[in-house]
Amino acid sequence: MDNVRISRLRAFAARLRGLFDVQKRDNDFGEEVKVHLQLLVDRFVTQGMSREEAAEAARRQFGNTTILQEDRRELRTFVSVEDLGRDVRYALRSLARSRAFAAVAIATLGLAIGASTAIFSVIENVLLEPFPYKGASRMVFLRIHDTTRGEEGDRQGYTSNEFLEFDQQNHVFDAVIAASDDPVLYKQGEGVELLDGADVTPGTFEFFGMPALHGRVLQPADYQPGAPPVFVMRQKTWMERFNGDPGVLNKTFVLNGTARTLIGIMPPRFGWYGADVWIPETPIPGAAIGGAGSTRRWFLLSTGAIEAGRLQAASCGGCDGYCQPAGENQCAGLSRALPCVG
Amino acid sequence: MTDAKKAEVLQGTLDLMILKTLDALGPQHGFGIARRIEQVSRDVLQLNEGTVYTSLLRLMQQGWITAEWGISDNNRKAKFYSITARGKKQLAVETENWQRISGVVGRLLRLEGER
Repeated sequence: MDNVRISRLRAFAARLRGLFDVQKRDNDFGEEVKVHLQLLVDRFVTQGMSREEAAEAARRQFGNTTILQEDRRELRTFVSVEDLGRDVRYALRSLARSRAFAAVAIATLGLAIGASTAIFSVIENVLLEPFPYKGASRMVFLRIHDTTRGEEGDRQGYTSNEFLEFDQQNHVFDAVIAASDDPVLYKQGEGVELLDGADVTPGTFEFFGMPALHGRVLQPADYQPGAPPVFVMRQKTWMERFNGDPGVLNKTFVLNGTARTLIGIMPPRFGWYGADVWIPETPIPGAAIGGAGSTRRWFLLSTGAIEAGRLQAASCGGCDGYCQPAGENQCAGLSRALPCVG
Repeated sequence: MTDAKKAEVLQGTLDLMILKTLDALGPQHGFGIARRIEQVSRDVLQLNEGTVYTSLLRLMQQGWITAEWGISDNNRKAKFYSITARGKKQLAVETENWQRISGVVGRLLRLEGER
């Protein structure tokens, strides 16, 4: 039984191969037939036939070459859809008969396809399409954890004062920026729409190092007191709300009651803080209230001069300066890492 | 003996005969195989020699024989077929099968004859 199955599988494999280089094999066969017929003719001639008789006899003895060609083609390829269908049904029946084999084969295929897909997505994201930001692999979110309390967990939101202190005393990271929620209501014609806004600290766009798709990014001057109010928009938002109309650039929008000029639209993959619009905001010491009247909490993003693997230990040492003045045994760690010890 | 009295070669038995021929004589081209079968069958079997090639292709697909272009005794380019290790194993299996079946059929026919 097994032998029959194996031999049918082999024939199936040979047919698959037969789908290719058909021409060469047909030529090969033609050559073989020619030689065979010549040898037969020679033989008959030595037996005393005339060349004509011999040729005729040879053809008779060899048989109909057209039928042979057909037979060969049938053996070698899937001549018709019915044949293919029969083979597929046979394969399915074989699989149904040996359930365990089928299960292993299907599981193997499934795992292999899954693994290849997973590996490809990783390669695509890490190698082919890394985040479009400068030094993306060195960026970390900072979390704070009180080591004197045994509790699990940490927090990621910082008050304005904490952020300012951290920014001043930081000697571990190249740069620290932060963003804070600022839900934006803006009037459009008759209606009012809500956008996900983010207040971003000075240096944010320098931090990411990405130029705008249209217009320009925020610059230090935009943070100066008395500077004309401006904002930058995400490409997706621009496409969805304004159909990608370039005419909206440099137009003034009333956002939360302030007239702001749209100075730039970012490239498609720029999406810091998941916001629709980015608004310049310099954290003010003691300011506890943020956008739309909510409690101000800044989320810090840093880029390190040290490799990610060593970041946890280094930031532990480095953030002592921050922890001490605050009078707390708090320490900043890598967002994905465990809280710092000591 | 006229053609009408010659037995047609059963499909499958030709495969076995070819395997045996290649096993016994070593690499052969199609013409050589046909001659060998003709010689052994002593004109009992009617063989369309072209069918040898169909059989050879079938055997190749199973991996029981391999083929290689070479030069025949009379200096002609010819494809030489030789049996593989897998083919030898298959030959052993098929030979045993054949003997068992022909033994059974023979016994059966003898029994029928006695009645």
